[in-house]
Amino acid sequence: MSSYSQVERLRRRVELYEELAVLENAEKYGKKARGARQKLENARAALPSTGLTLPEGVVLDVRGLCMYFGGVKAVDGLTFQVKKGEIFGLIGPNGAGKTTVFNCITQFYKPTAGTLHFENKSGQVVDLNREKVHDVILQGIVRTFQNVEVIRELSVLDNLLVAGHRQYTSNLVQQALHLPILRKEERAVRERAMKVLDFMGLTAYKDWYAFGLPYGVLKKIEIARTLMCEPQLIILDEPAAGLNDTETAELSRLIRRIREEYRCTILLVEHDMGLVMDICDTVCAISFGKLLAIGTPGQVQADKDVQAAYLGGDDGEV
Amino acid sequence: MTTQKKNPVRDLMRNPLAQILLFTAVMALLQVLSSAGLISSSFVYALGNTMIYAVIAIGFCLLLGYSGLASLGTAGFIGLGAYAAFYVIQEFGLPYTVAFLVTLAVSIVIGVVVGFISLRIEGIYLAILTLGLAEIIRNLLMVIKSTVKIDLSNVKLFGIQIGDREAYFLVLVTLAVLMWLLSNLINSPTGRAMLAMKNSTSAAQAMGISLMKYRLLAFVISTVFAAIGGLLYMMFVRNMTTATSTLLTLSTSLNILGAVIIGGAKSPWGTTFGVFIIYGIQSMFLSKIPFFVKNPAFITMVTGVLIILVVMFFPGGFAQIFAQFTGWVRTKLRKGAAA
Repeated sequence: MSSYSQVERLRRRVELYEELAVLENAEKYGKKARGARQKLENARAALPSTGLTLPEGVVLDVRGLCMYFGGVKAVDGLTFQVKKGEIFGLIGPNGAGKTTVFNCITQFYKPTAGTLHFENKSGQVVDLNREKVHDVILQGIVRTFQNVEVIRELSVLDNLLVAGHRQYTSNLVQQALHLPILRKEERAVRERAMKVLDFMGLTAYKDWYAFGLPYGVLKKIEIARTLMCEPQLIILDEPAAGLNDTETAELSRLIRRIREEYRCTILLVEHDMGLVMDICDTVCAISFGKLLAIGTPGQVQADKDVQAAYLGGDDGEV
Repeated sequence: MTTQKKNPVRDLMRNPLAQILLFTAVMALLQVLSSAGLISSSFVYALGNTMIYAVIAIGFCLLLGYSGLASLGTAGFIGLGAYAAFYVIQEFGLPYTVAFLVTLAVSIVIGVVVGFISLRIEGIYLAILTLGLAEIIRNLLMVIKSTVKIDLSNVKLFGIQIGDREAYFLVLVTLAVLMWLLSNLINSPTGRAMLAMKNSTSAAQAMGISLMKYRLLAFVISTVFAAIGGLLYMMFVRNMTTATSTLLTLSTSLNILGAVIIGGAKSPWGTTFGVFIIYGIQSMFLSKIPFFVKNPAFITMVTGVLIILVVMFFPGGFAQIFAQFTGWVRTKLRKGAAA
């Protein structure tokens, strides 16, 4: 028996050794890489099967999701599917439960009821409810926060290194003694971070402390962090909140570029309808924790229930 | 634009290992000078004492400055180390290495316990809880044995008989090694994970950082450092009357907290400097003024005033003052060179 986090750790080790074998052209790393690969394969074989499957092309299956806080039904029997590679928008009036859905998927809340099945980056279908909140990232799910949660006491580059935390395989002793393996690993992760910074156009800020940087840059750092760990599903919580029109336009281009470049699925909550209708392939509208409509942006826009939820119903008013 | 010339001296001074070696060399030199009769031995004794507090304080620096966890239980953990040293070395006649391992084991267990508590209780409540825990430990120790005294006459380490001078070097080497390990940890994924946890627990978790792992780790490390401080105290000072000594009371915990804040909670060197300020001022300056000798309680007031001043004007502590000062000097020099 082995756990998924062990497998991930071994996989990173193999990657690191292979990288080093090329970089330093040293046979000892090639040998180590083969040894680690053997271990990885053994661990993979020993990984217990979850016995779950998803329909072809579906990456996330949310079924009957409920999240109750005492008597408040924040999410109440929500069911939807996210297809691989699409940009999926979750919309709804304030207090509809959108962020709660995100918090359930990322296991910040343990759902009251319902299942969350997800096809992780190695193609295995897992039950997210069985994952710990800090292990969700290993499956390939990363998120941003509505009110930017950047580590203010660290530089922009270090913020990305923190996001790459699970990419490191060295243990505490190796870290306390600063053994060569840690230094090499550090260099590899740093290189990856530099690539992400370049992709996001943040290279100029790399040594700046996050404290005091403009809001637009902080938002970009948040998104940059999600790209550090081979994301399979990126969850963006109101990425356009607080951005001006130009920045929003840039953001929509950026989200598309991320999907092309990193071949991932993007799930977002957004109030800016222009952005949602522009970039989303599928839109899901919810209200009071219940599904209103799901479909293409046009379909959802035309839906009577959605219009009622946003503009007030026509029951008796007119 | 002037090209950045390679400056080997400056590069070397930025290397933590070089800094530590330099510090060790200076401290060792002071001891040698004192043996030669050039410096009073009481000065070197005060230095040794201060370095013991520095060991405790740098551990606390990781807890407060990096993990953002407040604890007022430091003194109790020091007591654990001191009593472990006493029982292992004096009562059972076992070597120092055994005492060291026992101290390590006991403090790890206590650190894990407190760490688990910290998962449920945060902020000021955690501080109050650890304060209570420290008082429990102190009172327990006092009941077990009110005075502990170590006779080093037949205690050897690596075949060397330990006397005053050897104890001083033992303290110095321990501080240097722990400082090295700590600065390595701080400049590695662990240090960054702790800072992330301090700034935003939700962001840390979303990025795969287990709060449990790092809170436990922070508490274990700071407890281990404090207990090693207690062990070194027993090797260096050799006796303690628990009922009258202030070492295991709240005032020590507060002094350590003060040293970390004054020195700069995110810098082990700043923290060491803070310890030298707080304990140095006490033992070298204030203890010579009759007023403070008559009213020792007022010594704490000086520390309090220092903390207030630093928090108000330089929240980064002396580490920040130093960085600003060197920056100022550098711009002055550059202007001078340009003119």
